[in-house]
Amino acid sequence: MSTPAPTLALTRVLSGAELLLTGFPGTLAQTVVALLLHEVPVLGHLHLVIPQKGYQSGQERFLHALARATAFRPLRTRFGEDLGTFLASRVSIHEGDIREPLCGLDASTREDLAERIDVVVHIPESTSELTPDSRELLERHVEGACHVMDLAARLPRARVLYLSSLQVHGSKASQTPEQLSTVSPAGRPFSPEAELVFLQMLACHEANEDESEAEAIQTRKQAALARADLHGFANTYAWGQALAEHLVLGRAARNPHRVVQTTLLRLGHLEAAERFPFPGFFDAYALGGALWAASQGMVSAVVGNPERTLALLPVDHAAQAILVLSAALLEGSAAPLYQLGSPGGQALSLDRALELQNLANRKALRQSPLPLQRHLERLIDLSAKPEDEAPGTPKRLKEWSAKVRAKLRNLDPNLLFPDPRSQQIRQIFSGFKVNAEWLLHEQQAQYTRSSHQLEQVQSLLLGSRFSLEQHELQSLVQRLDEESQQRFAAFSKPLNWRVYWMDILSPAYARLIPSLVSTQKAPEDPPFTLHFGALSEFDDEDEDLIELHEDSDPLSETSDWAHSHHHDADEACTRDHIHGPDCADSHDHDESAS
Amino acid sequence: MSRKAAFFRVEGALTRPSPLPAATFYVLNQREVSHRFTRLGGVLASAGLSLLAPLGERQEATRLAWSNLRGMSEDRLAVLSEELCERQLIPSLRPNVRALIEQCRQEGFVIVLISEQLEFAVSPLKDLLQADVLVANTMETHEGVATGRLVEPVISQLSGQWAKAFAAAHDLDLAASRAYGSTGGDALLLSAVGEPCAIAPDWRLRTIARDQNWPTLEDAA
Repeated sequence: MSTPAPTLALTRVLSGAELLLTGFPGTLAQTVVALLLHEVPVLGHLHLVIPQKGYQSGQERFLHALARATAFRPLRTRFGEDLGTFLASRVSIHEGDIREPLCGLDASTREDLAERIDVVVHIPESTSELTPDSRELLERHVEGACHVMDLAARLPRARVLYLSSLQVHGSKASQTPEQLSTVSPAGRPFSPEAELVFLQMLACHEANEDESEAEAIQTRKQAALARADLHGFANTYAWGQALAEHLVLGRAARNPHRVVQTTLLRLGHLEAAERFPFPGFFDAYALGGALWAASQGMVSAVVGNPERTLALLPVDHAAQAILVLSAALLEGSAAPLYQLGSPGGQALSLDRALELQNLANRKALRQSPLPLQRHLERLIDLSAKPEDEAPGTPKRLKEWSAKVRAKLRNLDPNLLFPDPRSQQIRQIFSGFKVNAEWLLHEQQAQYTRSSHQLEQVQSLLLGSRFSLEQHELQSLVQRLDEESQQRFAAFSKPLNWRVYWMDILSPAYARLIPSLVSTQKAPEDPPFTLHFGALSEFDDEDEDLIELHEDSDPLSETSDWAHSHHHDADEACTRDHIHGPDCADSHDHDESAS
Repeated sequence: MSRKAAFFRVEGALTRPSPLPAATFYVLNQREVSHRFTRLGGVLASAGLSLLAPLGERQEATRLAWSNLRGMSEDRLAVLSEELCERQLIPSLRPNVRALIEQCRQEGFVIVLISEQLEFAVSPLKDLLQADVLVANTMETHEGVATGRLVEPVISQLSGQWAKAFAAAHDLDLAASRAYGSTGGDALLLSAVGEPCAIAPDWRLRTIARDQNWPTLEDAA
């Protein structure tokens, strides 16, 4: 008879623990930080590795997010003027970049962290597109993951939670087994070493005499996409994630310093928060955003498989799962791999998602003061069509409005109404022409935006139906005590998609997307003044940290990763003629950058 | 000890009757534009059948009307029902019906609402009027899509047998109960209770009420 597993009390296990997080200020990382600080006051300390961006240091980026980002609204409400003092004793910012060996952290910082860090949570940076340039893929997602593993190996107590994506199962999978496969979704052998060399070769490709820089990027993207397609991945991001998973687990097991206990968590597509920090919190243009944008106006079809399963996941559910798994890692009871696609394992189909978007629009239109708009827009509902040439898609409507506009432009009122007595008619027609042209121009711009956003997520809409497997996580939730289940396990219960989509997701995008279109950034809260008390870690210690970074010589920091794989890349480049002499230059540049 | 109930027919007695069958609103708001017109024909045909059918055989017409909703998503059914209640049912409530229901409640009657509409649509009305029981049609769904079949028993024209079975299931004394209706189709239900009452009756129920000496309330209830 087996002994029942002991109960896992989240707050007890996390009490006094110190966590190191990457990926800030991404949406998920912000949510995790806000959730930890708001809901787990007993947590020991939070260390954030934040890269410099432009002239903004990592610390400045954190303070800016703290003062303005909507994710921290509950913290600002709870602590008011004392927020700065509260955080100074709870959070440390380490300026570093995962693209650099050991995340760019100097020796003294690592020494300081060595005795403190219990869990490293690596949240990959959110990517703006699913077919990124292979250089970005290599640096941010593949090498970045390895650098984090190298850093973790030097922190004696640290265990690693590595976040990946459910897209690693490929676009045509009908099952999503909770295991790491040595075979790609297309059934081909998937050797991480060979894939890494291939990716490094692609990243080495530079613009040559016949090619501009933009064309070179396109060449790299196309080659990576072809490789991803060969293996049955929907896009290059999924291919990169699959590769990173293998490399992370390989490095965890074979690191010369120590074996690092590592857990992978594959997540679905992140969407607006269901509850925390507030319903509808989100700051990026995700899959739901593309569908929302497409549903505005006269679009009646998007190219996609209506049966396609969309594993959508509210960002606060993902953050809760990270907390639960961090606790399980601390307790030493975490499995090697978990999956979380949709709350309770109940995903939506593309057809249902579009239907909910239609109904959300209908509900929003109920408040419209213009009856004509209400009736006209209700006439057209969005649906998914598998054919690329389907009428009513934003792409087709864009072409159509361009054609009509061109024809309208060529209409000369003087030729149409040559009679001198028709001057009034000519004037009316000219006015109509100007208005119609302006309207068509506006529509064309909207269709262009919708079309672009849909193209970004097209690979996700064309796949097949699959069943979500997240049994490991459900079993872990069974072990949580009652309080933890109520506060941190919303992801284990089915979500009411109708209420979520119509009352939370669609209104959230209605607020967010116009702001993203006009200002290129998510709406922020009014500035909040932060006061730091006597324990002013942000004022003193972190400035010291930044100085240390500036004084240190990163070239002397050589990671295991840099040693082992740059050698492989050199070999790969010499084997491939397309890169020519640029390849060596590129490596020199990489090394000097690191 | 058995309780006594006050049965209120929603269509006609509580709300002003609509000239079109209840399914029309749903059909006109189908997702596919082509379905809106083709299925509307089906609903109108069922309305004609309902007028021609003899009393007691209107269930088939009701079934036929609702069958035009096949293929509609459960989400759309719920949203349209909410809209229907908000835009049509609640604004068309007869004046003073709330006072009448309140009076029945104070006299110790269990308030039962009976409707041909889908349960989704009349649930908010039940909450609004603080009724105790709602008897309405339920659309059968499979994997989130309406099959077009109504779950038995189909609520259309209610017979005396239905009233007896309902009373037995809910421990109600029909002889001490009341019923309010407004069309000839409600006559069987009204005749099964001790205190029948016609509200703004159509010509058929008006004739029966006069013959049976049932009290009649005009539009102001």
